[in-house]
Amino acid sequence: MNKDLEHQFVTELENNQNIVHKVCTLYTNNRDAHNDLFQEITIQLWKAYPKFRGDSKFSTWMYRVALNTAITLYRKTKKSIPTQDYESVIFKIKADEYDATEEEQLKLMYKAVKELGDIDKALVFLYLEDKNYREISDTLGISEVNARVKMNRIKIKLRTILNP
Amino acid sequence: MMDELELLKKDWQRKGENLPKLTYHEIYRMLRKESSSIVKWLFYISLIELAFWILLSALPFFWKNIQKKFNDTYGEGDDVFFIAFTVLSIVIVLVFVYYLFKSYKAISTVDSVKNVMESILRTRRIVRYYVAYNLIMVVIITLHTFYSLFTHDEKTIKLLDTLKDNGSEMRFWLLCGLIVLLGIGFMIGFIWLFYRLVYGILLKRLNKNYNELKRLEV
Repeated sequence: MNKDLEHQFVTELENNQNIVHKVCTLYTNNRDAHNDLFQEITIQLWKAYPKFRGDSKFSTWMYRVALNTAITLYRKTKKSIPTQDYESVIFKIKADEYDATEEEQLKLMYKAVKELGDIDKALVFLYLEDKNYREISDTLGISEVNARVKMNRIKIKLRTILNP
Repeated sequence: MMDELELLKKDWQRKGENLPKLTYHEIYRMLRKESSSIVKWLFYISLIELAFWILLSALPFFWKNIQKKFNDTYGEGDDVFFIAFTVLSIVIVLVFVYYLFKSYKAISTVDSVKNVMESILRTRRIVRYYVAYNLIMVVIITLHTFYSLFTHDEKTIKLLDTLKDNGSEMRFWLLCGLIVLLGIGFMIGFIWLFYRLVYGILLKRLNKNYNELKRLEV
């Protein structure tokens, strides 16, 4: 019985692991920390799995657990120093797909997003994942209006970083 | 001007292929690993705290000398008071333990970010109440011990009489008061500092993020 549940869980997580990797990418600065956070999120997902009823999609349910773990539960074990190699692998931009200014802009934007606070990052993450404001406000526990206001502020912040 | 975030969004959703890919077995192995979340840390710390204060208040029972002294000082008549006091303390500890576990259980990662933060802070608050309760008890017991020392203990009463004859009674009281105040102040200060350190480090990030969410709602 328990084995079945384990198998079911690992399979679902394996198929949806990109969501967790994306959260880890946003909230950590090197590969060790990335793996560390991934592991903690996996443990928390597994702990909460018995409560997952299947009335929502597995991926939807994952967002909450992953963000809660990254923002609140996770304890950084060591000071993380961003390593050049890691950044360039994760945010690799294919040169032939973009023109130079766009590429430069994207690089700057990713850098700017990584410098945001924990809450702002969560908002941007959900936004980039194409969640609507209702889902964003539900996940964070703030009102929809406030989610919009906050998002607009972040947009302005990013814009000033890009066009000083 | 085009919305920069839309540009980012397009790129973000293409990112998949650059992300690490873990195998079934790598994920499976992670299920066997221990969590190192702050909830777990909080849980262990509060268990240590409970144990510390319970041991501290139970200490006199194991110390025959203290118990004997207690009986000598208070006489047999105060036994009922002593038993009632002990029972009450145990009940209060049990109530705290109950609420502590209940509030731990209430921390659910499936909740919204704000709710998770609130339930962690609530748990922390229960531990704080428990410590405050203990500190108040320590102060009351200290004051009560001094009081009974001066009203029941023969040696002390004799000493007081001599002091009264000397005319230095006032100075003695001042000195006593100063020692008690300093002692209590030192102890509370020490415990406060300890708490600032332990919880300050553990919950610094949580408090910062929680305040940010709170500020949004105003």
